[in-house]
Amino acid sequence: MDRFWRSTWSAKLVTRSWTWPAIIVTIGVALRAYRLAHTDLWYDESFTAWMVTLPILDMLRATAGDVHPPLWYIITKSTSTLLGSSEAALRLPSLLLGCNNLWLFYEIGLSLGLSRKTNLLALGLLAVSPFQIYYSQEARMYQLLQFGVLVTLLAILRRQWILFTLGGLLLLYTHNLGFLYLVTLDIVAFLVTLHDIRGPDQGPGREGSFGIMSPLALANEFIFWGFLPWGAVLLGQSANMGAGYWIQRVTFGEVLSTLTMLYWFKTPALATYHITFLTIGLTIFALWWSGYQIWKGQDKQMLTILLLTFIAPQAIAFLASQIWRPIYLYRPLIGVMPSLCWLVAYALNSQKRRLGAALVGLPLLALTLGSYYFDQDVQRLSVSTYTEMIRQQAQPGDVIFHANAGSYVLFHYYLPDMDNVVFRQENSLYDGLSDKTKEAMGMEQVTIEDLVIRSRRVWLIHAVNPTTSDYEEQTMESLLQTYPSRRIVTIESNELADVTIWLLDIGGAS
Amino acid sequence: MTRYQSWLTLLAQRDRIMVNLFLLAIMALAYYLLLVRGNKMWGRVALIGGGIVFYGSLLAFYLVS
Repeated sequence: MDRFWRSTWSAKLVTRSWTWPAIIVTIGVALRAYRLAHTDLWYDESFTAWMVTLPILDMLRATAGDVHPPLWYIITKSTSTLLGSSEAALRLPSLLLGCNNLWLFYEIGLSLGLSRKTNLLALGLLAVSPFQIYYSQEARMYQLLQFGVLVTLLAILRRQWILFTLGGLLLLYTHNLGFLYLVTLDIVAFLVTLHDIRGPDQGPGREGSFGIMSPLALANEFIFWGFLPWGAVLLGQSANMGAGYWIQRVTFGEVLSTLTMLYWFKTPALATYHITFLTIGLTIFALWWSGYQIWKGQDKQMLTILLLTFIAPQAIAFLASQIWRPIYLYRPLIGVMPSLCWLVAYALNSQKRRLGAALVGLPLLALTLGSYYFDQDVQRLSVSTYTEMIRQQAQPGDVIFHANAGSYVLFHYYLPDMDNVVFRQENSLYDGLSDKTKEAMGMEQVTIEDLVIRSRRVWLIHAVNPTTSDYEEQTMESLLQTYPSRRIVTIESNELADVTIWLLDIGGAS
Repeated sequence: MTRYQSWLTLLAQRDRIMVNLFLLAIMALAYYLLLVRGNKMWGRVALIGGGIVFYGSLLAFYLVS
């Protein structure tokens, strides 16, 4: 690898400081923009699509009844006012943020004091990461969350406390788990400031210089007051989060599987074990190597910051899930990924056999990237195939009846002109949306009695997953037994979750 | 068995696999540190052998599936 860097043509390129970062960022941008709107929206994204169509007050009310803060919806609402609500338009803010994060990442790497080669390697890892690409093509807030982490970290490194305040507020208003990063970055800011007081290699601190902490304290105070209005709403939301139906219990295996997702997102089934094994190995190696360097007194401050920002958010989420309620989920952990890339690049760049490492890694990268773009098992469900089928076979007066809100939100995006209604559940949390949110969104909830008098022909969409309530399953079963029905199609998204579309002949009022 | 119970079983299975992969990775790391970084000749043997096992088993998976 050293020979590669030293060869004449590359030496010329390396001397120009912008050439390599520009090439890598361009590759990253191309990978993020390629096939941006190729896959259909999935549930979470279609929820965004619905929210941005609501008037601002209804949107805020619907958000207050759900599990996320409002900033992402406000941003997407303003962009969709200009660009419309096609898949590409809804995903555009994430794409721009994802590309911008690459550049920001490189800047921070330089401020951290990483060597140029290490920083370029880290940038390369971030640029080609399927996980990063996936969330740059998702109409959700995760790239914004990562942007918040990067901005706040940059603010600490440059001691810009107003930027720190803004970054902290951005984190909290983007995602409820933004507090994981705020707590971590506060610890980093405290350590960095403490280091400033003591001064590099000057031994014990100067008397009374703790006043240097006051900007940090003031920044936190501003963040507190700035977040207070939404903080009150958050107390209500935590009741919804408590249901946590989409968050699995946390075990050691869950932590390891989340780690694999952070690199590759979903791996092709064929190579899952190999990729996981290599990923876990690489991460342990990177952590061990940086720990070993700290122990030797090498790059101590930088590596401490990286280890802290990689481990602390996960550790807090893990502990909170054990003693409080499940909050450990891979998506919001996107904010630890920059540190992970720096740590891995640091460890790899210190080794002799970098070419060997590249030879092992590249085929797997090609495999996962290829499957990201072309393998349907790894991609989002292609729901428009089925909604188009319904559109073609539908007759005037048909009703689309959803057993739960999951399919309602998604089908509403692809069939907005048809009569969509949702089954009124016993307990609204069973289908993931509170009554308050459903009301603000203007979702029409019906009982079976309402449905029967409404239409002759009913398309029943029954999406089931492991947390589907027994009440819902029983009601749908008895509905199917009472009226003549025809199963149109069953779409399996995995071995435990599937969607079945039925056509029911109710012969109702008309 | 309800869908929820099968889900839990599936998660437990995956957990076991993950922990095994973790132990395997630790062993591979020890192997790397001892042989590859410690001794040039055995390091080569270890790297090539490891490569054959890694990509060989991937190929075997592909042929079987």
